[in-house]
Amino acid sequence: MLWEEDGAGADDDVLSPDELVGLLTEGWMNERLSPELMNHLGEYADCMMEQVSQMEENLQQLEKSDIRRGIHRFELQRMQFLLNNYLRTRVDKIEMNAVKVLEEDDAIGGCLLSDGERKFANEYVKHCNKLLSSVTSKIPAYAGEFKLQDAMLEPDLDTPVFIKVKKESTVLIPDYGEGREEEVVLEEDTQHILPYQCVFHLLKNGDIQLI
Amino acid sequence: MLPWRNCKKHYFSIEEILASQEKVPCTFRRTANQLGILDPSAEDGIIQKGAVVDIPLWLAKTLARPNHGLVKMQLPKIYKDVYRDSLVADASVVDLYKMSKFFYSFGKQLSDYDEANSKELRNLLTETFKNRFRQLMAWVQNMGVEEVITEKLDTLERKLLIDGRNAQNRLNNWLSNRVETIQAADMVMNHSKKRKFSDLEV
Amino acid sequence: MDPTEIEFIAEGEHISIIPSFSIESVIHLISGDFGPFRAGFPQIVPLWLAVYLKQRRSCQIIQPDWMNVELLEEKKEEEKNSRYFTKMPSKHYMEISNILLDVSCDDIQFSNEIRTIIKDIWDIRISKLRTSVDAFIKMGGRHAQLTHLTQLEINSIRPLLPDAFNALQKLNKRDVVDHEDSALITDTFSMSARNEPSTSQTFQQDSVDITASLSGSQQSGLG
Repeated sequence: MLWEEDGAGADDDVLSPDELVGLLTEGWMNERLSPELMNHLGEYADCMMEQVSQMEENLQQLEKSDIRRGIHRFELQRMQFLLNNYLRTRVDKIEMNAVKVLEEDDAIGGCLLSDGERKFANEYVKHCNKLLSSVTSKIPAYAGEFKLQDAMLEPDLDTPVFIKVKKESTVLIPDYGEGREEEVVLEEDTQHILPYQCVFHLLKNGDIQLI
Repeated sequence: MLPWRNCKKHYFSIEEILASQEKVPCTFRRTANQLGILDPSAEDGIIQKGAVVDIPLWLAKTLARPNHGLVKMQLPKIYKDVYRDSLVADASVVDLYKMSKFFYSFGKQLSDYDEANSKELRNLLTETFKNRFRQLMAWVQNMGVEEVITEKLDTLERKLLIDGRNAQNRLNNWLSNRVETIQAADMVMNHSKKRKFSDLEV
Repeated sequence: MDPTEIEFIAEGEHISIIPSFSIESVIHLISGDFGPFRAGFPQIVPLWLAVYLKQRRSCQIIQPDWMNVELLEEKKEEEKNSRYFTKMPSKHYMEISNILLDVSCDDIQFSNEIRTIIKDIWDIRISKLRTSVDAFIKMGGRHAQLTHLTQLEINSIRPLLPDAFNALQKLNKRDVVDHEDSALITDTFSMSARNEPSTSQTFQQDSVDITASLSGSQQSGLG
């Protein structure tokens, strides 16, 4: 038996493996396409990594010539691609604005970053500060003070995103200096393009998906 | 890595810094005895009251501040008069790069210091951009266009073109790696489009 | 996003194959349970698995129902005649057909015709998209509905559309500067050359000066 239905991981009671894949795939797409860092899916990612290593172990039991071995292995490669891409996207975003990300993470009780990411972010800030002070220490004082935060890139939350509506809702597009507000009804199963700022609360609720 | 353009204005934006290096005509309100370095034609290193000197924006705005009041800044001519008229008439044929390498960025920064005309200036920038966009999009999607076309684009437009083209290349490669015939079709399309563009070039 | 990433998503779609091998028990993949496989009998699997098996000559891929010349010709006409984007038979029609025509061309009947028609449909839709994008930017739009566009098509206008949109936003917005800096330029903004003398050197009279008082000592140099 290659697969234990009630295998490792507390989530297996609540989530079936294919649901996990679906969630991670959607989470990955959202992370790829949103301008800011999303809350981490650490639990699911960990769960998936457990599945992957469990599967690898189980595969050892199969004969090399067994066609199932190749099939499972190929699927594992796909899962690994998904995870790697997801984590790498997050690391890139953390690097862009590590200082703010750490603050936000703190403010919402650690939901933004996984433990590993938090450690990474702290290290990164430490190194950046070290680099910065090695340069700024040579600049005369009257040129002004310079903080690391000034060098950080803040995402533009007005950037347009493409969304798919999962649950019907209404959003308000604020007046962007043209003197008109606009109310838009987002019907289920429709696709739209909108400023991210207008819909990120729906994204966090899972009412929409970025595409 | 998230492209820099998806980010709000930030301290180290190279384009903003370079754009602020563009020159602004400044009229000296008082004689400046030791600022000859700013004006190569100044005799004895002295700039006379009333002289008009082109000074980079980052410096000009400091000198124009009320607490110094040393100079009065004017809007560079590329945003006025015949230049403006040519943009309003048909923005898509204008050589923006020749007017200023950082036409949009520089104009935007200027508008922040010009309360009275800010809206009109920003309007000029946005209308120019919108009118040139269609052509830019066409150039992004057609790979075989010659270099000379991109010479008329300012820095912002060039960045959009390059990023857009990179993405288009990836798409084309992906499409053609799968199916052989598509590659030939693209080449044929570009070849005939190339002739059309050469009609536009003056 | 990269086309390969979209391909990854498309590969999750299900497709029918006829395996040339047999496996008695169900395969429990992470993405779901499939099988049992009986040689010669159709079986539904994810596209990535179908491609994997086909490349090992372990199966034959069954042409999806929608990859049919008549159906696609009709779709093409519908797309040509409609102002809007019509619903495609598969939300990954281009990705799937690209993949299948590459790896299992021999299993696809009328593959050349199908390839051509699908490319034509793609071209029609992309051309419509280009026009829509131009209109969106020109009108300074902030919202548009684009149901029925597929992911690969949406991706084709990235990053140009978001970047152009962001650039316009930035140009439109008045950035906050110190109050004393907000009126450092004191030209009249002439509408055209006709109202002004030919030189663009004219500037306001000294009387329209800044009202803030100058600081004490007059400085004649920097620093």
